Amino acid sequence: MENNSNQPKEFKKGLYKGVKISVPTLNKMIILGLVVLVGLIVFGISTGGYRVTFNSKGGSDVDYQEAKYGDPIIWPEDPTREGYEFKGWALDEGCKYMADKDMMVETNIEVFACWQ
Amino acid sequence: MYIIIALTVIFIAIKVPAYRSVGSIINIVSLTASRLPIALGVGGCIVLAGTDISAGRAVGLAAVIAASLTIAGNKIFPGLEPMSPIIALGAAVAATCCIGLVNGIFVSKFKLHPFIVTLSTQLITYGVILIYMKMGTNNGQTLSGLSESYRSMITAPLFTINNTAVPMYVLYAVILTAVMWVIWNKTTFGKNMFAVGSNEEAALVSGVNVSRTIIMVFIMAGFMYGLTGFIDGARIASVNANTGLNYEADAIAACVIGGVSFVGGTGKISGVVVGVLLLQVIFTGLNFLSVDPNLLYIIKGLIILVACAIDMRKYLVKK
Repeated sequence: MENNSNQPKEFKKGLYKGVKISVPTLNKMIILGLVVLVGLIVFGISTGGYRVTFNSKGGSDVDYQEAKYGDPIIWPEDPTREGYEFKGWALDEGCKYMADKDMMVETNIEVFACWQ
Repeated sequence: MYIIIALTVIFIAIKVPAYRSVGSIINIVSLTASRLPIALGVGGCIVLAGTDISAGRAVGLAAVIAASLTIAGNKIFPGLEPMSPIIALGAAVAATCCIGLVNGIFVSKFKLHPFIVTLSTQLITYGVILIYMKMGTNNGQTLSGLSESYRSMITAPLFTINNTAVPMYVLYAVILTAVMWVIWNKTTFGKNMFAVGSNEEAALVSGVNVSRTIIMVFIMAGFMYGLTGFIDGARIASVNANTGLNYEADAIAACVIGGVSFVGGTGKISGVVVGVLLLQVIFTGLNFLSVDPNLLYIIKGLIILVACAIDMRKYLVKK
């Protein structure tokens, strides 16, 4: 009986129809998959970080920032643009929603400069 | 698998205290509630030994329709005043039930594999969404500014714990789960569904109307996608053509993790709920640990593969 369960068996129905595989092979696949999964998660945590991109929309360039979850955004010096006055950073390109000064980083975000 | 999930969660909870705050837990529960209806719908299709990859786009279509009927300053139907959310809900659900009907007819009458059928309806639905978004003077723009009555129906606080509101849609998800539990476990239709899933020929011989059962399961799934889209539109508050993208992947993954087998004929509502909750717990946690969102797709894909391997192993060992 024990020996029999190690033989490859074929699925007769369902999405796996026609798949012929044995329990030991599956065990190896599961363990390998879990190892890769854990490795990826560890890699993700150790290299993790979100990027805050500042789009100055034609003004002087502003460097992006790397931040961890929950970090406050460190606002850079105001960019400059000839003939315009800097009004602040917004969450959308149309400057409908202005960014909050105490905003925290929760994912990759891009903020846009507003000019007048 | 469960041990690894538990270890990850404990590790995150220790490393980032904010993860186990009341607000974060309520956030996880709310997100789970918003993803639950679609998973319950897909679950039925998987019990039939099939699948449904048109689910995400169907959710998108429902959200777009619901938004287009309740938006102020309507550009899709210029001059249309925001309608009652009930009418919007009806229209959204009717559209997704049609998708379900088409899926069901092709799977049952023409014996096509659900993968092929739902792949084509997925593309067709996406095309319809894009054309719909171009109607009137809208020109494909994101729909936002949904009517207050629609938004409050979904996101109004049900009750408040520590200043964090639990939204209404959590209640809806609980009701839907209860209804689906009754359908799966207590009705003839539910029993027929499991019979067809585990052995179609045997079900046919014992007098089950197989094609009607298959069509009904897909329509029921369509109904659930409609509700998911309706809830999601108000939850996100802005709807575009990409709303609902990849939702089916999450839903299918949740079902497989929750023990709804791809072999067909087995699965429990409680499993689906646990599956959706587990996925949400992991991904919220990884978000707290600042893991790159792009990496999350790779992790999700691997989780589906491993869950399938475990699913196969379970079946072989039982045999």
